Amino acid sequence: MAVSTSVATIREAWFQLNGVMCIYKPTKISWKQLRNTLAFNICRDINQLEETPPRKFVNIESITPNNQLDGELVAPTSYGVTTTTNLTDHKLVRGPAIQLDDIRLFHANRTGYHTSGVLVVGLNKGNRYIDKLNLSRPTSVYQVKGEFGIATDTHWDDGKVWEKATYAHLSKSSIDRVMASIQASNQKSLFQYCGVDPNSQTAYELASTGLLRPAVKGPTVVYGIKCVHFEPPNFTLEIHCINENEEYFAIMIHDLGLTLKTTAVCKQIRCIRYGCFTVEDALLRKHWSLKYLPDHMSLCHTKLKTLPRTTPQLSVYEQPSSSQIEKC
Amino acid sequence: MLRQCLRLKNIQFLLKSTANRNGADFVEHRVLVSNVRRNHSVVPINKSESDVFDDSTELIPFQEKNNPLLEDPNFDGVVPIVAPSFNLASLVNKSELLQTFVKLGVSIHDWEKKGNIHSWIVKLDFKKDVQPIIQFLVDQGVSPESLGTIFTKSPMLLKTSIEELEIRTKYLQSKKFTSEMIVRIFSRNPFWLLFSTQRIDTRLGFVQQTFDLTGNELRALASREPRLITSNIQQIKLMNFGFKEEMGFEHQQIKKMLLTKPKLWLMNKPMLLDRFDYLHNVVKMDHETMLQFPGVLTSRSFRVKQRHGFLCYLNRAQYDPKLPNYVSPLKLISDSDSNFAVHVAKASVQEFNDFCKTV
Repeated sequence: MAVSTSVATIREAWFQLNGVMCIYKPTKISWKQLRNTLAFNICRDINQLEETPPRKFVNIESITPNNQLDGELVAPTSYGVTTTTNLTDHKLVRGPAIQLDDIRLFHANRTGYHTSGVLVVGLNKGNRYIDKLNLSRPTSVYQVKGEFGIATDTHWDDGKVWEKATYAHLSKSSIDRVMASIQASNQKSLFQYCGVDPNSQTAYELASTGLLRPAVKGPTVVYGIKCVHFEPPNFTLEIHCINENEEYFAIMIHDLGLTLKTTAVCKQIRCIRYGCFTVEDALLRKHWSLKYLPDHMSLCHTKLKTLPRTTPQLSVYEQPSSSQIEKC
Repeated sequence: MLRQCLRLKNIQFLLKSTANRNGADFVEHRVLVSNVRRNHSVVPINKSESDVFDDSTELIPFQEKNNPLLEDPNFDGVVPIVAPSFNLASLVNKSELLQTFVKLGVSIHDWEKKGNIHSWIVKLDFKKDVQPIIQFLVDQGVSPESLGTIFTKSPMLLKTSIEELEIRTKYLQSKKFTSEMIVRIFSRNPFWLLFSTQRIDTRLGFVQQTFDLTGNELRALASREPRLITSNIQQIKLMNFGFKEEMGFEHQQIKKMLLTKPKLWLMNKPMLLDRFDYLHNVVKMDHETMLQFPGVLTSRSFRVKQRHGFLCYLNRAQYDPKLPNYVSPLKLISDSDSNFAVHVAKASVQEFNDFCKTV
């Protein structure tokens, strides 16, 4: 599934360069930048391998007698055939063999600009596994660090400070109470997205099959949320969720501060798990090269292959149409 | 254009063929040819442009019908000399000039990014246009290995006349640049040769005045980083503002920084400010230390952030040389991560990697 160490030529390497990677995304870097860095590194390394030999260029020249008069057309007596190397295939003429545009990279989980952590990326034909992985609607786990006492315009700690508040009245139990209410309201809404009454038999049967996964990209659902570190003003939340995004967390931290009668900002969002890929598997920026990627991709491939087949249990989330609302 | 060329070519071939043959079949053709020739010589003088166009367009279907290339088997294999192409690679097997460039080590594919170079580069004559310039560069002392990069970077050099190049070199010699300096300037920054003497003179004067440089310092700077002289003057002014007002360096400090690390003036300013901000406000490095180790400003910011964060995590971030466990800023930026983790941070590589996965 990935480039083995015995591969010496660009051609062999290219046909084996397909797979899924699990990357540790640094913070303050956009997907576009990350994509470019990855593709650049792969191109740089693959172009250092052995080139395929150039094609042959066959040149046919007609040999005409020397005593030809000016302007006279004479049939050639014979043809000379010379075979040379085709200069069109020269590295200086046609450029590097593998270029940035040749490499198709796509991400499985959407991580924003500030988010760091696990990012699952498909390379070339590995993109089809990305689709399959996403169809099983894997949950992601985040660790979100925050700080009580200030509020900013962006809800991030580097924004412009709007407000300051005291946080001496906070305790671990008061935070846990809010966490529990968030979790309960989300679990309740899960049945609503499904379109079943939480008290019905269908809801019971659905819940007994396991974790409920919405089938489409809809609103964010938090399966579990708890405070894993509390040392005022700093705190860390661990959130298991689906369909999340960066803004959701920032606003959630802000709202959490308001609910606790203080203010809070977000300091760090770190994805520590996406489906079966954890932060231990993730490759650091210094390892994004062809030396480490092939082994890593085969590891990820075996991981994907051994995965039990899971599909979303929930039916398609449908928003009630306007006619239905009128009937009610 | 191509169609017209083809037509003229047909006519010439036709004339040749009709001259050779006396068969009655070709009489019509000869009549046609004579008509065409008369039209061509007469029409452009007497008629207005639109009429010429009409006359020519009327001829086209007639020509196509009687095209000897299609009818006469003697014209098999007659094709236009240059077929339309969208890159230089398709011409390289035919053009000896391009083959010579490949032998010199010029990457022709890089020219394709540089705009409209194909249109004139193929027309050049090696003996007349290219050889004198190569000769000139070699006479100055440029090594034959760097000729490839020089022509790759600035193909416009082939369009410059040899007299101008000589004037520009003589200017440098008159300013007491040694021949090694001149060679370094030409091979490091081939664009220098495209700048007129007046422009180079104003730029050298600007740099000397802004930084209060002596003649020797200016020459050393220009040969050390020739790209600085040909870069945007506005950019240099902006960077100066950044160093003085935003980072808070003194005038003398800026001068010292310029002479030790001129590359900083060619960098992206917001990126440089971000690095400075982290080093000055988080690592608490003062201006004097930065002057002593200017490499800290050119190293990748994530490297400094990771390593400083790791040292803080281990309580080893001690940058005062008078106290024990001193960590030199040079060690913060140089060497591989594994060496840093083991020898500087006195921890294992695994620990360092695990720490990197928490930020």
